[in-house]
Amino acid sequence: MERLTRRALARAALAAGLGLAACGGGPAPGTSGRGPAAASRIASQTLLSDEILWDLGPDTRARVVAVSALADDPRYSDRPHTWPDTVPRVPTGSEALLALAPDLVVVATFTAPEIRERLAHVGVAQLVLPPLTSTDAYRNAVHRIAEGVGAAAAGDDLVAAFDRALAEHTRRPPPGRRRTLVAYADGVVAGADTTFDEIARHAGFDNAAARAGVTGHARVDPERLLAWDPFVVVIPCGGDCGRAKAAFAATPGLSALSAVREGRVVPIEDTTLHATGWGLARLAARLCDEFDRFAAADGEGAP
Amino acid sequence: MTPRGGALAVLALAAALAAGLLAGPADLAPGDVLATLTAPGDAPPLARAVVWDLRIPRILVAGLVGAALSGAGVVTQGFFRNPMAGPGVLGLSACGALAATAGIALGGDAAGPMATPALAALGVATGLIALLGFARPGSGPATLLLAGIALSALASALSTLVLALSTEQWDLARRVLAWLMGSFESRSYEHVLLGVLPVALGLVAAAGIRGDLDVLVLGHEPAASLGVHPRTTALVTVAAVALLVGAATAMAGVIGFVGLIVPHLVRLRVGPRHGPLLAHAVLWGAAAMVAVDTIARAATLVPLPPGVATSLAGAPLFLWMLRRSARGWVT
Repeated sequence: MERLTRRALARAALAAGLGLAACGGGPAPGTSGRGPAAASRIASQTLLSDEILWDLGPDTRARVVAVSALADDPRYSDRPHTWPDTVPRVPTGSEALLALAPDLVVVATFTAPEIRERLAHVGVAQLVLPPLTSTDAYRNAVHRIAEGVGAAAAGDDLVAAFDRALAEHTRRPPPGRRRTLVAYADGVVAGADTTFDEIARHAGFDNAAARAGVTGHARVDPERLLAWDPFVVVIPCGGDCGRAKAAFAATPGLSALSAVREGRVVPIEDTTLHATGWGLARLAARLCDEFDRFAAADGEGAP
Repeated sequence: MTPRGGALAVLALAAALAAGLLAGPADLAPGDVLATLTAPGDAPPLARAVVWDLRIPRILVAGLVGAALSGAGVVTQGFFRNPMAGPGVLGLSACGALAATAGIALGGDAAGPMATPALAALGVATGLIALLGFARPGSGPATLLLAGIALSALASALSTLVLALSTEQWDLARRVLAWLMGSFESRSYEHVLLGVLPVALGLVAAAGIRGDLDVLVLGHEPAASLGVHPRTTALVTVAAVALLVGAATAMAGVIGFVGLIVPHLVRLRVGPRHGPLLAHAVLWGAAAMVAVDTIARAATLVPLPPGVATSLAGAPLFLWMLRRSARGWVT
């Protein structure tokens, strides 16, 4: 009898071990766990999902029990203090998050795997957002979140509105007449496969970093920037754009760039330049303004 | 320094500096670089900026950092009679890193490009005061060493704490990490001016105790009986290391392994006497730092932090030396 009990315990332990192993690695991008269609307690753990959940309307907002810890940080959040104070700002994977008993948590591929595994282990459904490298990724994120919270129609409306806003800010210069531009922040440039690259092309520019073979956000030697000598350099500014411009011009060597010498350094607010959601339409508008300014200065007609 | 050995070291440094001037991602032809050097007024603005504003300050800073760390390594290894003693052993670079890290986290780096180097120098000076407060130079090398290790651990823990508190703010964490990994990027003549005097003073101080360090090989008590003043030697050692490490950390951040490995490699060639050892180590350290940075810059698409490059190159060399000197360290 005692032997049988021990055997049963050993089997149970083995089964538990296998069960844990099955949870290993965390879910791939997509939705996992219980079906989220009727999610009534939604926790957002990314800035993008904070924004999308708000934009999906009052019915969805009412079911959100937590937003990301950076939701009110103006350096990162495109819409600080949008959510009422009654909705807690919770760090990813914290005890406070689990205490809110969410039935759907929106995370991202950059969320630590052990946190995603822990959420899966306690049976919380997750919606994992893939890396945001294009406007299609934003559209996809909207649709997936909207479907996940049972607000597909609101998601369709949101994407349609985004597309309308983006379509208003498109410039198509004649072939071979695209001016080059680079987004440069503390030695890091935005290359191909970034939302900036797509928006820059959308606004009629040619991203010199992407053309030079840089993919994603990558650190480049200032010498390379000098060798590219882009027509426009876009830099981030956290409020004091004049100071950011002066600091860029004072960086050793960079004062020789034609963009610096001829006044074509364009400071853009951090939250717009690094936008992941609706801010992309704002970025397109900002770049189109610059496009028009340069076209007017060169005596070119309307695009 | 033997004339032949000295000439070789000077030649190596000259070659490294020339390579640093000629190589870089901007793909300037050697002729263009030479033309820009000889007639900067006639050169295109971009070539002039690459050569005069980027490459020359960069190789000067790299050379100064390599010389400073190698000189500091010679002094610490000699004073502590310990082959594992590197410039970081007194915890001063960790204090510099803490001040810089805290400054970046509090937004102090926004005050200007020289704000972080100034903070690092301040951190090293504060660390020096703390070190001398905890372990008076007369209390012996073991106490000084242990106080340095404790100071280093404390400063590193506090830096990690600052980093941990800023992980949610990814750009802040990135800036701190970039500084901690060391960099010669966008270094200007201001950085050179910031470092050149303390490095020169530190090397003069180190050279001043070269004879005492030779005698200290016998042990601190026998050295005292031979006329060496342990207290004075300790004080000069600490001052020299503070000046050298402080300047290097302020100019380029934290760069490991150079101060540990270059003195060992040079010692294999010139022997244990601290006069020639210091002179050779300074030249070879400068050459090695410039060469490693040039290779890392020219051979990789993404700039490799010099702190990483020196560790990648230094650690296998160190292991090779360990194997080679299995019968005992040459000191």
